[in-house]
Amino acid sequence: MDFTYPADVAEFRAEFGRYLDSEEMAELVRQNHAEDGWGGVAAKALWRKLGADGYFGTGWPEEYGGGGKSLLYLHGFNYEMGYRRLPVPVVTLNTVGPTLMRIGSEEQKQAYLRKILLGEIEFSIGYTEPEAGTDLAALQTSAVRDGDDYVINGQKVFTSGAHHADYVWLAVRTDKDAPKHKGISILIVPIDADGLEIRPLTIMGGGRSNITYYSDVRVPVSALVGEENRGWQYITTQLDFERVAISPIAQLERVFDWLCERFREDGLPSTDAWTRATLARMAADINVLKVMELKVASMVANGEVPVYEASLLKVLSNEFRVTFIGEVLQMRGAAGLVQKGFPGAALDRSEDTLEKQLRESPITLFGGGSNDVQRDIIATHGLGLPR
Amino acid sequence: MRYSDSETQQLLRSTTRSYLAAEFPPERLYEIESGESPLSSDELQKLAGMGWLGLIGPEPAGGGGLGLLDAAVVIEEFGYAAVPAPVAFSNVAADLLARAKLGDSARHLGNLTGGRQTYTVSESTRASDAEPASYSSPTAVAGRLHGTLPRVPFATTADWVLAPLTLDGQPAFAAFALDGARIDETHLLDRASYADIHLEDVRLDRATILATGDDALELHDRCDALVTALSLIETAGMMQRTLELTGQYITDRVQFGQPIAKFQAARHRAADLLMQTETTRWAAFHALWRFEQDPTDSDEIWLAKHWAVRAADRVFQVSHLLHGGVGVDIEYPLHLYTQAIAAFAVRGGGMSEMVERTLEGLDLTPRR
Ligand SMILES: Cc1cc2nc3c(=O)[nH]c(=O)nc-3n(C[C@H](O)[C@H](O)[C@H](O)COP(=O)(O)OP(=O)(O)OC[C@H]3O[C@@H](n4cnc5c(N)ncnc54)[C@H](O)[C@@H]3O)c2cc1C
Repeated sequence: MDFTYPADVAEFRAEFGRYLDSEEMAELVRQNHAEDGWGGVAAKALWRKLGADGYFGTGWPEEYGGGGKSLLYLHGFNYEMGYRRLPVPVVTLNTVGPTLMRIGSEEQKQAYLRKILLGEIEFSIGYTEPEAGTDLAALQTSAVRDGDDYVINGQKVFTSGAHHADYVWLAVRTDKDAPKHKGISILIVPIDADGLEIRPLTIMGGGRSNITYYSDVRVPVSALVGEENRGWQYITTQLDFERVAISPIAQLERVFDWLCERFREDGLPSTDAWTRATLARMAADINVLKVMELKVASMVANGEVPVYEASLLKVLSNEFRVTFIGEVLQMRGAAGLVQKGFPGAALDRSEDTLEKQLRESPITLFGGGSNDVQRDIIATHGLGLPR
Repeated sequence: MRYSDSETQQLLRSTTRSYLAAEFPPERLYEIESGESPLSSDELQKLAGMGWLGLIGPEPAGGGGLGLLDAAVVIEEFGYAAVPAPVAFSNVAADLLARAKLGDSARHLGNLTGGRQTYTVSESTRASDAEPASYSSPTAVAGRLHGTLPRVPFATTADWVLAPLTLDGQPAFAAFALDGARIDETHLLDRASYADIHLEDVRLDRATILATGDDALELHDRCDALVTALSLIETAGMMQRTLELTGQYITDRVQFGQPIAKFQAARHRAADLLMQTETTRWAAFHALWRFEQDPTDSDEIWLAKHWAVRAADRVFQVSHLLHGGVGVDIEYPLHLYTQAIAAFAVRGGGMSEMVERTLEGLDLTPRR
């Protein structure tokens, strides 16, 4: 056992943190705080800047233009961004990029990887459908070969970012007769393709996702990623980068540090029994999550697969988060419930409100693999229980 | 002893439920929530016309003549229907006016129950709120009023708000006329209508003093207790609907070739939802009953809220987990409920205050 955080990663984080806090970045940071984390114009501008300054590819292999550094750099990058409430193009950097590196055609690698690293293009993910959520393999959107094209028909829901992305990373059914996991493929669909329609879907808390409709959308056969009908495998095995990329702790620590700062300023009465005990419990909980996050990150960086550890971290951290934000709100009182833009709203340094965080907090309970399915994974792979 | 509705209560419940379902379909509720078209004075007038804004208070004094538990049943139905109307607050106002000894409280009560004027009350101000220093509570010196009533519910549609003030250094309780005050409307996460009321050098005669000294403290305590208990019951109504929506969703939603309700993990979570909801509901009604029996005994109200705040967290999480993405789509009703349930845990005092009040109730002063 050796828990030493590598000095070079720590140095990178410190340097990257100073960069984000620099005068040069102040305006971009401010614009992104105003945009509230759901992507858009300010996010794109920030990503181009980060890409141009070489921060997107530190953990990518050198042959694809990356820095060739350990995956811990990716974790560090995401932590520093999350701690400052700055948007990360998570799926583009951690799902699309790595999958293309592994199984993309030479043409696709040329077309996309460099642009991804430069922050010039953004992908949205088109997996979920009205009838295929947790049971993703039930998806029905079809792609049929017609000469040198695929013709796509169907509907996706929650295609987040589609209204400002350049492409959809689309899961489609290419073989209706095969068992459901064996007839799925991945296609790259330009967002401006004829027949692709995007409608907004507003989320509790004010964020925007989308419904996307595909009517006879044509893409060339070269839009296929990897082999036909092996899409399910690509969707489920390309998780390493995602696992190490997601840092739930950054968001929690950001709020917790802010909270402690408030009490240092305002004082915390010794008679306030609940607040004191709860603050202490929060500190203990966050500590555990932090230790487990580092375990997952180090496993990935060492080439091990944190099959159930990643699930453990996901379940514990997002269940903690919902309760945590609710408790912080109780500590700060009703001012925390006031929406941004209305009198009395309590904003933190990143112009965030607690009420919005609370309203967005349930999404991770079921998104990215429902917690109860994660528990199945923990029971099966962590404990070896029979299915 | 009987844990079920009386005949009066059954009637009140079914009338309220069918009226609200007809008048406030989900589309109307989304409009209200979006701020596009808030609850109108016409809608409010109709609610007053049904007698729901002034159920409490003895009839001779102009009140609706119903007991607290009867009124609570109506308020629970407003929660069930997710209609953001000032029913709980208006009824607390009626209750307080019926008890006030000074001023023209009888005239106010008549105006309230007659639907001629609308009333609200301020929520508990005891919470260890980290309020901006500028939010100083109202004081009256030499006939002039100064100060702020923060986040008064439904102040934008009310004519009067009942709240404590300091009158020449002494505690008092008053009805403040809202037309003379500066009102800053604000929106909480559930879009409920709240406003900060600023009294800047307003003439004292814009307030009717309802009580002074110990009477005022008593009214203030009663106001806190009743607002808490009735908000609790409104929340229980919301939890009930949340439970039903969730049960329906997992029954209808097929994934992996079967309704989600067939997965044991999902069933257990739904069972948890029921347990949280029922316990919250009965604890709330029992506490209110106790308070009605003995107005000096509000201990159970704080215990019930203490439980409900934790239940609110469970209900919020579990209903959203089981609903998946549909639950956070603002064109599906779940969020109307869960947002308000989450707000309830903070409004008028969260756990810190409940713990403090509970410990006071336990009276742990060392005996020597
Ligand atoms: C804000 C937001 C952004 C999103 N962004 C994207 C995106 O960019 N791209 C995309 O493709 N998708 C996206 N999604 C969709 C997301 O991935 C789905 O919501 C998720 O997969 C769950 O599917 P569902 O919503 O249909 O829930 P359902 O499948 O209906 O499941 C609801 C609940 O049922 C229970 N359940 C289901 N199956 C089981 C089981 N076997 N055992 C026990 N319990 C079970 C679980 O509690 C589960 O949480 C987004 C969703 C949201 C809300």
